[in-house]
Amino acid sequence: MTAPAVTRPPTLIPDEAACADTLARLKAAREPRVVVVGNPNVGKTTLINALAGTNLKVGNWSGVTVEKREAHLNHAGRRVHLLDLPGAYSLSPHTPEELITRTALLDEAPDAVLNVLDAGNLERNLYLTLQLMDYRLPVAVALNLVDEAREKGVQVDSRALSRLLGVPVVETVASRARGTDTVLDSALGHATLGIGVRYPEAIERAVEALSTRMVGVDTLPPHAHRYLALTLLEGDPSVRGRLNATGHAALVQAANAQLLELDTQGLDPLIEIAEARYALAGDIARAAAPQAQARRTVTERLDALALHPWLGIPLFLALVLLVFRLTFTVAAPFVDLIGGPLQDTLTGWASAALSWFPLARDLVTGAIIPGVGTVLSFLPTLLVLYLAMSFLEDSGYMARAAFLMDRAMRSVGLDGRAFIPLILGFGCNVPAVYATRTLERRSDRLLVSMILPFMSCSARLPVYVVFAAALFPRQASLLVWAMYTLGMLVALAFAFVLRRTSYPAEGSGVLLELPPYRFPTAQVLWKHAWRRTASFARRARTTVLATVAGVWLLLAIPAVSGASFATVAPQDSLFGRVSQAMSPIFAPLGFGTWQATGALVPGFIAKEVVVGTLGQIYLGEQAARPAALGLVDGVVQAGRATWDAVVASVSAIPTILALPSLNADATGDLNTPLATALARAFTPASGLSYLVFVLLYTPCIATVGALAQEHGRRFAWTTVAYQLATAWVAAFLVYLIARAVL
Amino acid sequence: MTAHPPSSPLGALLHAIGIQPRTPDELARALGSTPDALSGMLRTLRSGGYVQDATPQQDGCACGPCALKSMCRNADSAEPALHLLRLTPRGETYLRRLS
Amino acid sequence: MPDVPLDSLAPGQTAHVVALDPAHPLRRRLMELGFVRGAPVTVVRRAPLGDPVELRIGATLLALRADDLRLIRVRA
Repeated sequence: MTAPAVTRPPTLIPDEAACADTLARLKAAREPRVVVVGNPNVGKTTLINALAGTNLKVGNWSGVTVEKREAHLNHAGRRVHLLDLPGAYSLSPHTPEELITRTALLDEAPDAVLNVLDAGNLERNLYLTLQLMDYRLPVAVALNLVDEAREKGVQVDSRALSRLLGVPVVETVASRARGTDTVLDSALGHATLGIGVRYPEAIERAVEALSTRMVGVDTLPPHAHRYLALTLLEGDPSVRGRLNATGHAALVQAANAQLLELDTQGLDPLIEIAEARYALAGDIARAAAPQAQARRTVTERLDALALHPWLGIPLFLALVLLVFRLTFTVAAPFVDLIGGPLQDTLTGWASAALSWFPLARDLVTGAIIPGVGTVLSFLPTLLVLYLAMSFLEDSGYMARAAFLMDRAMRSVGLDGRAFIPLILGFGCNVPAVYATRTLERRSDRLLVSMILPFMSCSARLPVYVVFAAALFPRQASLLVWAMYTLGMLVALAFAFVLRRTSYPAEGSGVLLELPPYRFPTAQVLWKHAWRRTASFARRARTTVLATVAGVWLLLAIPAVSGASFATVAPQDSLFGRVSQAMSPIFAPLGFGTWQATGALVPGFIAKEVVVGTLGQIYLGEQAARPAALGLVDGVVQAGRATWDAVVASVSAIPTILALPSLNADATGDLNTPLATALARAFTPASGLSYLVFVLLYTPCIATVGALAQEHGRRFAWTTVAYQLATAWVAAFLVYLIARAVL
Repeated sequence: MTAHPPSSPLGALLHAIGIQPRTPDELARALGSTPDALSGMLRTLRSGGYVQDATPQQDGCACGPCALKSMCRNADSAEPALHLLRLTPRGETYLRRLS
Repeated sequence: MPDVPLDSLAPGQTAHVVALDPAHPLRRRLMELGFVRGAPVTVVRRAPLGDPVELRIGATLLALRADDLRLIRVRA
């Protein structure tokens, strides 16, 4: 092992002769030409405007539509020609603007360079600065946007920067004309060559060899030798073309020979040169603006709380609870809106439009609108949940959760990282199964995959919500929280058992990275959450729609003689009979009715279908069809209801913080027709047992597919079988206990 | 030994991309930097032919059977929505030489 | 100054890496993260449940279990 190299990359000592030469020219020039160079969006235009005032002339660079700004002005009794070059990230041109900037540097014979930097983005900006310094002209730096940088928490020490770069640095806030008056003094009076990057030995030798060939050539001024040599070695096609066209083909040939030589040594000059510049840029930026330090301080402060010996874990649990509360409080009014008024409006319209075609009307109003509508009514809930999850993920908190939970996870034979797929499983089991790939050991992947489906995915949430509203309106979020916790406990219990029986641990070594905290942008959060929610909605449109229509069909086919299609009573339909036959299995769990049993079957396809099917069975029974609605009446009704929901949601936000009043939930007013029907059909004990069964009974078909793909079909079906058995036993126990207690 | 001295930013960046295709944002986080600071380096690596956009066909791991393609960060779009980056063969060769 | 295993450091203490045990399961990863001879490493804190332990090396924060710390030799 060698000692780590922590020394600053060596820098070039300015060549005294060239230095004296160009500096003398700058002093002697009758009207020195100062070019203004900088990255795009560093406030260069504003600075030029402030410097030039009314002298500014705006034209175009020849042949292109890029603006050319220049000014001839008097400064401290001296004429100055100020020329603004287009914004460029580097002098190796990628854009037309960068090509203009590079060409102008070579053609316009500037006497000095005024380099404008964004103080808030020093590292990236310094790359161009270091490139400019290879072009041995006097440079002065205007450190702009210092106010914005300060707001970002970045404080640049301009004196240190000046010392490190070896050129004068003036702090400016061009937008408020601060520092602008001294910028020209600095460029005309103090600009120097500064330091330069010292490239790897082999590169320096090649540069030396090429520079020697340029000595004495009139069209290649001495200050440009180093830059041209480096550019040739970088393989820049436009400079090669230029040199070939101006009678320097021999020089290009020589460069090719050097490149060949470097290649045999396994060196790519492009990357070696860039590497040296980035390394120095990074070093200087870190030394002049300890930005990482500022961010580290924030991270340290937040971690002192988030990872606190006593508060860390309670805080984590409270955070999870808060997420669920937020989900309910903010989303509930919209859930009511979609499940109630909007659905009524659609049903009304459909009744009116299809009144001549009773069978289609019944399918649409009896199956499609309530089925899909019920599922869609949970979109607001999901959107809020996903927003909260994305926030925890993107902010860096999830890694802390893994850190907090590692010891606990170890007691069941896993490590903290396994916690991440499990938490993801709260969103959807499918991506969580794929996320197990991040675990290094195969036994860990299998084990976590097998317990994952116990994590309550968001598709199961609608079932809890509707039962909570029906049976436990005052403890709704507590109930939901309990379901999530139960799922997790069952998962961990199985991890413990499986680790000791089927998947013994292999090897050791756990490393968790704790990235610095960052505040995720609203835009990114919205994008993540919206994409996930939209995918749920799409599934509601396809899988769920097909399932619900299929169930409607089964409900419509009579299983007794004498009844006719679509008018048969549900219990006499094919669906009713099949469910009836299966229901004795669930009698010990407290819900041995054909309706409850029937809703579980399509739940295997997608858990969210359980609610849709329940709605169909129970509400179909009531057959309370709303009256046909006119178009205008419908719009008015829906519009008014939407406004009410927005008001209710916004005014509910303050109540989130009224912790921990768990029994004063906003979900109390989730009075959908389905909730009313469920309240009649279930007792609290049987409802609880039903929820536990739904929580645990089987991964949905998409998760089974993911499991089969990752670990084989046998693994997937084993998982289904053992989960069904677990669900039955757990629901049975819960029913026994709940019946005794409630 | 693959320990990169801290003064080899491009090497560290290549190394991070080599572990798995990542977005600039993920890279910045992995390296304790900012996407802005990395943008120039990524441009250099791209222009040198060391790094390219990852395409879902090649790098989308298990997109095919996944039921959640639509919510996946990089599935099935010709234009990678999230701009995952991967090493080119040239980049891989270079990285091997570093280590 | 004698070498000590990294797990003997208390939170807040800094020491310099002397060697990684060749048998360390994370040897390669740790080297990539900067666990090379002479690098200063700080013990930041223990997790609320006692393990793992948060470390700072360079600008990186990471956590290792006590078992894995034992195989890293450091010198104050």
